[in-house]
Parts: sequence; structure tokens; C-alpha cells
Amino acid sequence: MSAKVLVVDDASFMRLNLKNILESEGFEIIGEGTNGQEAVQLYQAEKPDVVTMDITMPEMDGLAAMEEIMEMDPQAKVIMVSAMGQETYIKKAIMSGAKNFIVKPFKKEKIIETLNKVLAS
Amino acid sequence: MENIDFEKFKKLFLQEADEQLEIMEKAVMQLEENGEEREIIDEFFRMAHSLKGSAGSMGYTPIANLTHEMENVLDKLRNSPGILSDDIIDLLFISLDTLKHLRENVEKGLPETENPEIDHLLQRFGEITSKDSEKKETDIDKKIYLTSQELKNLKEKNQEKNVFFICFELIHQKEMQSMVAFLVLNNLKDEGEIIKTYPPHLDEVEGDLPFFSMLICTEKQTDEISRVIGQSLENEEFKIYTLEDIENGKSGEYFQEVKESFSQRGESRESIRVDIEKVDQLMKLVGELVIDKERLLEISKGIKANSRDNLEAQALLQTIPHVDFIATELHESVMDIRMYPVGSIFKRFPRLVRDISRQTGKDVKLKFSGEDTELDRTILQEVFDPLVHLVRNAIDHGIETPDRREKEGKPSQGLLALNAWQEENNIIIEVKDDGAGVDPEKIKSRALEKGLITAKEGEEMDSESLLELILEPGFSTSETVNDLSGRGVGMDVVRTNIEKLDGEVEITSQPGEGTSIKIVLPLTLAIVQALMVREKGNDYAIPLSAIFETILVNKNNRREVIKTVKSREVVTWREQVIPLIRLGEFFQLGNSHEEGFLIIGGVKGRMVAIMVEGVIGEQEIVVKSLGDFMGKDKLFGEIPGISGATIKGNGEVALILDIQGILKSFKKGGDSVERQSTGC
Repeated sequence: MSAKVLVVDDASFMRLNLKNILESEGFEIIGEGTNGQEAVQLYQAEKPDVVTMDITMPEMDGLAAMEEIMEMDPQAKVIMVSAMGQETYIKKAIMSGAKNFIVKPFKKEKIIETLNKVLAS
Repeated sequence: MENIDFEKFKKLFLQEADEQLEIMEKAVMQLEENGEEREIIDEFFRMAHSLKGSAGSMGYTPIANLTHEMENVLDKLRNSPGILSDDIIDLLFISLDTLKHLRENVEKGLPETENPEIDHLLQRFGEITSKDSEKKETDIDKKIYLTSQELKNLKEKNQEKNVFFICFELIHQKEMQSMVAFLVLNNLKDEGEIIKTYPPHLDEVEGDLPFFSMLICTEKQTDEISRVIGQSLENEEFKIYTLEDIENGKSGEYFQEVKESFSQRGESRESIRVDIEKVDQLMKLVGELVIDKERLLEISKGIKANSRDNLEAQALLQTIPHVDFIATELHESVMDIRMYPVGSIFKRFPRLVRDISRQTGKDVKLKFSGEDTELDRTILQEVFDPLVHLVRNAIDHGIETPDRREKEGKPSQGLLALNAWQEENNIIIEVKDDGAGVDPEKIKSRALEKGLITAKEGEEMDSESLLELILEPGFSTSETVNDLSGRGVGMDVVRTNIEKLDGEVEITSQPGEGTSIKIVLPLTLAIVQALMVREKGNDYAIPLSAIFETILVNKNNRREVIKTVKSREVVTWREQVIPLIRLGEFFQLGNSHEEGFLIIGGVKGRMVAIMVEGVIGEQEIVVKSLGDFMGKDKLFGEIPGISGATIKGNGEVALILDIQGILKSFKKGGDSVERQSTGC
């Protein structure tokens, strides 16, 4: 069975990019969130196996969303997707339970590898 | 990026880039207009960040690089307030233009070429972001040092548990290597105790970190530790050494025992960055402490009289003055933290002056003095908008066009000076120009025309009072309303804003020679020295800065001190005839008394004598705002003569008198105030 992924990013471009990469590798995209609030709602409704979470987003940022998801489901596997220079956020995310992080711009192999790694843990 | 419709992506990218660029442009303009506003910077950052992400993924490296540098600068603005300069604004504008240009190239499908302009921009950004940024570790020595004693302790631990020395080398991951280290460190923390790391504060390092190492004490075995590390590390090299390996010298150059006790090079920091909210909280607490201190002083007065023989009471009496001293020192120290140089807002003006000069066709040279003068940060923020208005006015209405100036025999370039200095307990910020000046006669006719004064009043007013009419609501001498000074925000708004800060606006002007507008501000708003007075059973505080003298009035001197002129009571004080206000009547609390104290007070040379029943004494008071209750459309309505409240030593509330407000309402409506509400 293919792993279910929730993709969260405010830029539709990024979502499409990730979706394409992941689907080509057999992952199932069960939802796309455009902000933190949507991410939390989608997580609750769809119970994905893994979440890729952008950090800077309107309404609720990725960090807050991740923290809410972790509270809902301490076993949740969230991978932060960040650009250069967001060390502080990544640190906070890791400390609150994020399983790994990906730096934008990313290579396809890196994403797949990270996702598999996190799913296997 | 195989399997994807590149054109579809490109279209989406361009669409989003347009939106992002538009929002960023708006943000720079807002930053230029309003200065550093956290929300705008955040929004700006978010946009630059999104654009960087998508550009990077599409392989549009110049856009990604440029937005990355913009992000760095914005982040710096966020982290160190007060550094926004015209240079930065300029740079952001140019960068946006360049980004637009790059975006066009993407749309047209033009290949990326070497662009010296971008390199230049990147370099300028680099200069700004690296300026006074923390010193980078220059230490190329990658060893973990342990003293002989520490090593001995480790060996003891190793009896029951395992001590591992793990070295990491990141070869594939190039970005945010320190975060990889952080992730590994965080995961290993769950497995055991991290004893030492290289670099020493591994969890605080940011940026490149191709090599790092740690010493861990754990119950787990090598393979398990290896598995945990593998979870967060992709295809990167790491080696795990045991304590035996270390002792046998297998861990090589990365580990060293030092014979004598080794003290780590301590970082000596000259300054730390503190959240302003924490300082405000501290200030609030100090305010409370000052109230309690005053209460203690009050209580100690009672004890003094009653208990000369009580040793404990005597000890208490000896302690209280020390508490008084400490509280005052503490207050001053906290105030000092809140102080910010005026220069931090001055430096926003050159661009503004340049723009306004250009728009109005004037040639203006801007000069500063006293940039180091410090002012409470809160006041400084509030004073920026009024200053902008004054500067606009000075260029728009004050300084003449170059032609006109030459005809008048002045240098064609006008001079605009922003000066700041301290005078006793006040900070003065002056906007001074060498322009046309203000003609009091013109003001008089304008004021008559607008119905601000009657003809009779006009006759009686001296040129100083006439100049002050500029500050009245509804007054504007500009014949044409333009988008510079005539935006419906007049000088009255300047005055209102400054008075909210307990400050004053003073105008002096010589026709043909120029105008000087001074904003006189208190050093701080929070705690002031005041004279406590009593009237009809209520206590009032009068800021000492507004008081000149206190005169005792009794039946012996009453007739000499208080005279009646034109059915109004006046007092002669140092050969000046000044109006008398009976506080009880002013607040409509009841008929007045014939004996008591006269408080001779005044602001800006306008004097008033306030008659009160009693004087309690000098006291440090903590000013509490009544802003939520007083004023137009608020619970108590507008109450002239009250500027706030304070809590007395005994815990009761006393109102703070506003001499300026009393003078104003006195001038307008005789010696009693029409109350809009019966509250308070």
C-alpha cells in the first residue's frame, strides 16, 4: 500500500511540484493544505502517514500547525520544508517533534529519501 | 524535474511572482513611510521567501539568490530594530526593480546571462547583513578537549555505561548543515547524556558545519546508536569510537586530553538583545515597587512618632531609606535600558527630505545635531510621525524655491536642521528651517477669517500667541491643498500627539529668516516628581516641572495676595499679574475657602495660580493613564485639567493635574469647566 502524504504549502507552485515528485514515486497525496489551519483540519480528517509542512505561511505558520498536529497525534510524522535561513524555526520544530526537514530548493532524490527514512522510523 | 509540464509550472510561477512582487513593493513603500513595522517586515519576508522557494525549484538562480539576500536583510531588520536606513530602503527598491526585470526575462524565455548589477546588489546586501553581525568562529581546531579529571570521570562512567565519541562529516548536505547537527543531537539526547560537543555550543550554531562531533554516555550499544543517527542522516559519514578507541589514539586528531585544567575561552559579550516586552514588564514592576516604596515611607512616618523605644521599629526605619535608595536606583537603571538615541529616527529623514524636495522643486540641505541624545523608546516612536509632518511643512511651506531665495539674497539651497538636546528634565527636538518664516499678521487675518478668534482677541494677542494659532484645529495657511502638507492632518494633530506624550510644541519665527518648531518632551513618562495637594477631601498630584512656587494664604495676607481685576481674581507674583483658579470651583466640587495654598504654576511662560486647601508634600508618582476612560466618546468624556492618575502611598487613587489643560480651558471658558459628564 502506498504511503499517504499530506502536502502543506501556501504556494500552489510548491504544492504542485511536491505532488508531481511524490506521485511519480508512488506516494498517495491525500490532501493539500495552503496554511496551518487547513493542515490541522486535513490531518484530523485524513490521518496521513506523513506530512510535508512549509514553515512560513499565512493564518497559522507551519511550526504552530505542526505543534497542534503533534498534540493531536504524538506519533505524527511531520517533515518541515524550509528555505535557507530558517534555522530558528527548524530548531523549534525539531524540539517539538518534527521528524526531519528538507531545504528548499530540493532535489527529488532528497525528498524521496527523507520521506522513506521518516516512514521507516 | 522530469515528468512535469515545465510550461505549466512556468506560468504558475510567473503568476505568483507577480503577486509577490506587488506585495513586496507595497511593503517597501510602507516601510519607507512608516518605518520599521513588524507586520510589514513579516509580510515582506514571507513574500521574498515564497518567491525564493519557487525560483530555486525552477532553477532561476539569480532570482533565488537575490530574494535570499533580501530575506537576510529583512531578518536583520526583525532582529535588530532601529537599523532601517535609507540605504536599505534604496537597496530593496532597486532589488525589486531587478527582480521584475529578471521575471520579464523568464517570461520571454531569455537565457540567464552574467549580470554585474546583481553581483553588485548581492555584495551590497552582504555588506549590510555582515555589518556588526556576530563574529564567526575562526577556530579551525576541531578538537574536543577533555581534562585529565574529566577523562577519569568518563572512565568511571564507562564501567556501567558506554561512552562513545562520534564524528560526523557532511558531504552531500550542503545547506543548513548546522540543522542536520541539531537534528542528530536532538535525537541522540533521547538515547543518553551528551557530555561534550565540537563546536562547543552545537545547539546554537547556525550555518555551515561540515564537521561536528560529540561525546555521549549511553546505555545503548553501538549498532543502536548508529541506527538512531541513520534515521536523521542521509548518506553522510559518521564514525563511532569507544572510550578504548580514544585511549588507543584511534580517534586521532579530533580528540585531545589536556593535562592542566582547561578553561574554555569565554565569550565576553558587551551587549545582549532583549525583547522590549520584557523591559516594559520590568518597568511595570519597578513602577509597582516605587508605589510600595512610597507607601513604606508613608508608614515609616507614622512609626517614627510612635515608637522610639521599639528596637524592631527602629531597625525597620533604618531599612526603609535603603529600600528607597535602591528603588530609585533601580528605576533609573531600567529607564536607562529603555533609552534610545534620537539619531535612530533622524536617519530616516534624508530620503524623505530628498523626496519632498524633489516633489516641491526645492533645494534643501538637511543637517543633524544631537543624534546621541537619548529618549524613552516609547516616546521616540510616537514622536516620529509628528516630526515627519513638521519636516514636510518646513519644506513645503517654509523653505522657498531656489529662484525666490536668490531674489531674497539667500543662498539658493535651503537649510533644514533637525536638532536634539536635553534641557533639565526635558528632551527638545527642533525642526528649524531658514525659509520664509511665518508672518503673524497673516495668521491673524487667517484666524479671523476662519473664526478662530474675534477681532478684539486679535488686537490683544502678541505675535507669540498668534503663532500658536497655527496649532489650533482647522487652521491651515496653505493656499493650495497638495499631497504633501494638506492631507487633512494639520499642525493641531502634531500638537495633540505631542501633548499625549506630556510634551509641548513651541513655535518661533522671524518673517524672512525662518521658523523653529521645538518639541519639548519629558525624559520619561512613567515616573515623575510631583507635589501632592488636597482639595475638598481629594488628593491631586501636580508635576513639579510645572510648579514655580507655593504661597501660603491666610487671613493676614489674603487681601494683599489675591486681588480682583475686571471681576476676575488675580495674583501678583514677581511683578506679574496672573489669573487665579480655585481648584474646587474648577472641578465644580463646591464653594471655595479663603485660606490655603497658592500653587504658582505655568507652562511656556503662561502662568496660573491654583488655590488649594492643603499641601501634602513632594512625592515620586507613577503615572497611570486614564486613556481608556477619558477623552471623546469615552466613559467619562473629556475632562480638561486631568492628565492621568496615580496610586498614593496609602493605596488610594489621586488624579494628576494637567496645568496646560487648565490654562487652556481657563482661556476658553472662564474659570470653570463645563463638564460633559458627571463621572469621575
